Amino acid sequence: MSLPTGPGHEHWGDASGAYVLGALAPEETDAYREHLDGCAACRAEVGALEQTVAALPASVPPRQPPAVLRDRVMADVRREASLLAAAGSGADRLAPARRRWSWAGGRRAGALVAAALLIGLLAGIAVAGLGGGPRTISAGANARLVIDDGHATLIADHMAAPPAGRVYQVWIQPHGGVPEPTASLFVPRADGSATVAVPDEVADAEVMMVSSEPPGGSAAPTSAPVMTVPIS
Amino acid sequence: MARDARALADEDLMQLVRGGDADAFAVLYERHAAPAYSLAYRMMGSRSAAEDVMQEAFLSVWRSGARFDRTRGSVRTWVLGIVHHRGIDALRRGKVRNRPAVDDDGAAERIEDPLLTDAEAARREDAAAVRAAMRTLPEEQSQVIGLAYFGGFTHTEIAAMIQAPVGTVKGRMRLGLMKLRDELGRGAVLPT
Repeated sequence: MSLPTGPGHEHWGDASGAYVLGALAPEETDAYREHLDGCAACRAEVGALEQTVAALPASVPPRQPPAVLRDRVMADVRREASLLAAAGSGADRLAPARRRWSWAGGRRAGALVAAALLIGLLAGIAVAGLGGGPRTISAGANARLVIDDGHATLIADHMAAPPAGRVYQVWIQPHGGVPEPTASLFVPRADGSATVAVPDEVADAEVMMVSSEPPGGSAAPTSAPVMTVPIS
Repeated sequence: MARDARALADEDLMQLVRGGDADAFAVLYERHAAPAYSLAYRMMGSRSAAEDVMQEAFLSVWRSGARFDRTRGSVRTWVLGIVHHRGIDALRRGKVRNRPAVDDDGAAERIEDPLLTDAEAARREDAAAVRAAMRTLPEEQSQVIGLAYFGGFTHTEIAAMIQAPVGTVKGRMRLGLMKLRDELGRGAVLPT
């Protein structure tokens, strides 16, 4: 009936509960796992108690997560999915490091900004909340850039989908520099809304732009920007 | 794609997530975000800290989908396990050690969904059964289980807090969980 015990069983006999609750110190956890390798009785007990612990989350009061949390998570996921698709099926699924391509088309920047002006998408800009709190930079009626606690997020509504087979890419132009590509790639949702994490360097930039690019993004813009947002 | 993905079982969605399918992941998020957030909130005691844990945990689910092993339990159990680990990490980093106590019974932000699916109604019955089983434990056992699982405290920290020997705390944890297992086994509500 009873399973065989392993070396050190007397010492570890009571530790199964603390282990499955995550209440052992890290060094104890490692030592206990070594014990489990050689102790069938403790392995069986831990297996049974792990099932019990898995029921504990059901005991907490239910709460609905805020919709903005879903938007934040999915913005990161869709950006990484785009990069993954561009990198091919063998790509590593770890989070991509922030990329900095070298600028190969700087002289086009002025023309791109002018093009944005021409197509009427450079909207009235209002900068609010320059103190320690969130900073919101409006890009017309349908888009805004929110910079809060070092994190920048572009939030847009009623945004047209990019041309077939292309995604939107965010560009950041530092003061006195030329637009630099970012790894912020996105496609608006079916209702035209989008929530996009933007590299926090944008807070000190001169201009942020968005253009449609091939999946995976470009080192230099290949189309006129659909959004141009002066920052400071 | 998203419409098709909604018809798939969690385990099939995980196959797609492994291949980098964001639409499949979005369906998984919709299915499991509410219980995950409820757990994170219970542990962290504030919206902002719970949201940070959720963001970390679900991005971990997205990035480490290949580690899901269907022979070891359901997707929901796996996801909640990741949320719990991230919560423990956050608590032990000391960022929110002075978090406010959470009111289990009447939280102001609690939202009840009037439209319950059959599956959700069954989950609420299970939740009631787990709470009922917890109430059958002696206070000294439910206390140490709660401090460890939801509070992220180690058994030595708990021993110091309640001024009991470490061995006593470990024993209460083990006995409490074994009793809980017996209670839940009667109602057959243990998750897979």
